[in-house]
Amino acid sequence: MTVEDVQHPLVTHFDHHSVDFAHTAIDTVNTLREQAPVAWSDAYDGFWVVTRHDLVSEGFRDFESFSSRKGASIPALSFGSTHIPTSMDPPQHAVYRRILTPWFSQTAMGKREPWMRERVRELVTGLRDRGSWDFVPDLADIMPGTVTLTILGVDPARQQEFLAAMARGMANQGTTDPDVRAEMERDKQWLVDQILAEAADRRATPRDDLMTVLATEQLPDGSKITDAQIIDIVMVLLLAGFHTTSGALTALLVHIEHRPELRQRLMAEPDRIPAAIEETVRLYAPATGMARLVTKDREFGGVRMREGDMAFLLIMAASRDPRQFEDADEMDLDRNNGKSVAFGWGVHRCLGLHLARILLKIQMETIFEVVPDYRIDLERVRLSDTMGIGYLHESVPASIGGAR
Amino acid sequence: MIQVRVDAERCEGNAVCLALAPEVFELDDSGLAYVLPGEPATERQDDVRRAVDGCPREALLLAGE
Repeated sequence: MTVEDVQHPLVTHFDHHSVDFAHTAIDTVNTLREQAPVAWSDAYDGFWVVTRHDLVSEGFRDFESFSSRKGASIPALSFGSTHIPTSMDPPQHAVYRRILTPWFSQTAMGKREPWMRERVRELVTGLRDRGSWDFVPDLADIMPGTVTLTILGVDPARQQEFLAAMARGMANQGTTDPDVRAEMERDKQWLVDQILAEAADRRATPRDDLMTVLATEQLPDGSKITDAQIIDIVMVLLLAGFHTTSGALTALLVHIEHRPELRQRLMAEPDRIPAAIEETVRLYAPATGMARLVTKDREFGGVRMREGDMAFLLIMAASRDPRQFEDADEMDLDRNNGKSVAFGWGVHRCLGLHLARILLKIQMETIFEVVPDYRIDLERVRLSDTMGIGYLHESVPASIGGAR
Repeated sequence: MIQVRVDAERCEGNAVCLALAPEVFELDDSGLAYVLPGEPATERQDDVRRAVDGCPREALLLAGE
């Protein structure tokens, strides 16, 4: 069999949510891409796995052939139904995206930068005072949700409750335990109730925050955003920003801990941190991939796709494609990442990319400044058992100067 | 014949135009979009319209329709 044979695609059991995949993610995607640019997985209800960079880019670009209307996840998400605008195609997508974009633009993030810096400094100073900590729960998992909740206008005193409910939902995503599932259902209902209460509050007393805009904005057709849509928008904002930015921070910290000369260089030349961040999200995909619905019969990457098939655009594989990136598995601070699909590509390109870039830069600069002699205990670093959403660490223990 | 230009005040380098109309747009060294030379917009009208509609910053301006 050859990969060019459109009648007989490579069939795999590729399952991005499996523990097996989590333990071998990078090797698995690198191998699969070289076996077939598009393979068929018999996991879930069956789906195409697209691995080569040019094809992943093309799938993201061609929203007419690869629709978002069945959502961006395989299998479809249970937590939140139809995410907005993630599960929309143009032209409807742009209506909602343009309501959100001003709140996450480079300019908007720049205005919040001093506040973000202050919050990060408080947290990192707290770590220094404690002497030992875990970068995952004690820094990485706190800031992205804090920024998003603040943009929405959620009272800082109540943000901890939101973060805790989301963390439980994310941690237990693959569970089949009925008690845990019941707790997740209660958490989800609690979040929905809070979102609706916040929206009702803003209709009564509008403020300068994103929740007010969602609760009161008039759409071009004269209608208002419904309560159900507000939930679908807020859920995706909270979930999409939560583990992605967190995963990138810990991936970069662990990467440079293995390479002391690179850590030294970034500490000495902090203006190179943004380049290291772009390389980190390329090498350790914070978003593993995105699903699309095939809208018409077509040949793609050497296989024959059928209308109604699902395709998974595997960002993690595309980002290490040697056809696009020379020495693709190496971190190269001088690399041109202009065509990187790490933040997606096309109309759905990551809304939070400026937030992520600024927040990651602030966190790295602050760590280098406030705890320059931190040491990560590499023997106790644990990767996540679930890499289906993104490349994540479960635990990254650290301390001042290596003391426990 | 149509012409498209990038409003440099609005563009933030989200690169949506580059994805939707790669023959028309490119990113400069600072990561902001510009229109490639040679009036490529005229030959790629459909792509350009998708890019104009898709730009999250509404930073692409069409002229000369």
